Amino acid sequence: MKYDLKKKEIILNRELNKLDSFVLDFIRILEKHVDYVIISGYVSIVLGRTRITEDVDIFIKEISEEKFLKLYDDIKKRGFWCLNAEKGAEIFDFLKNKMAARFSRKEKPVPNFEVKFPKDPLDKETFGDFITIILPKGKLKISSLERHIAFKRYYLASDKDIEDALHIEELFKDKIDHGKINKLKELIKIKKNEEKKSFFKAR
Amino acid sequence: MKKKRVFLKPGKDNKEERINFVKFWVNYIKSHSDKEWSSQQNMLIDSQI
Repeated sequence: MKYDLKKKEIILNRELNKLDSFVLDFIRILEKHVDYVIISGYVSIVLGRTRITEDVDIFIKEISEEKFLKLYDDIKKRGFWCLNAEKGAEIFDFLKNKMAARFSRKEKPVPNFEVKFPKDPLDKETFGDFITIILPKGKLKISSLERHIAFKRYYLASDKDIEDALHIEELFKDKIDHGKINKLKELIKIKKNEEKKSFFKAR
Repeated sequence: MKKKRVFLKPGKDNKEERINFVKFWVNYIKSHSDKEWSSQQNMLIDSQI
């Protein structure tokens, strides 16, 4: 594994597993239609963490309904389906309302992709703060290691998430920008407060 | 030259045990080729999908 900080690239000469193949197959469809960044658990898993996940979280840039319907058409043609609804307009509505839509191989709900539009400016920043993983059979865009650690440690923060963060911290010890993590930590605090406020407002 | 074996430090509780294993496994990744460590990880992942 080689992390080139300047190029923001990790060359990973790993053997691919079924989860990696699932991810690469779906990304090949997705990237023809929309910009994306993979976030959360799979980031740690593709970089070696010894655990499995049933879903791969991904942000896609907000697109028009027309563009989404073309993407959805392509998704269906390539043997995937949506777990939430059949009609494209309905799925787009979920995304527009900041909910996730899950896609899996037809009739195989696990594993699946949890596709989301970014909810707020901090989420949107992910599209400018990513690194590329170069695998033997394709490339993947993942959130920067610092962003990944910050969200795992200070936003999600379960034992599993802390371990996911620790895995990356230990693996890239001398290449992590801790100043950047601390800045993100403060922004996450604000995001959490905003979410708390809107939760109580909605009740 | 024979590599010096690294041992896994037992934890005082489940949480510490898991954290120690994360560190132990990262050390394994760093000291083995991508192909070697990923084939170990793939046994776990492929058996569950």
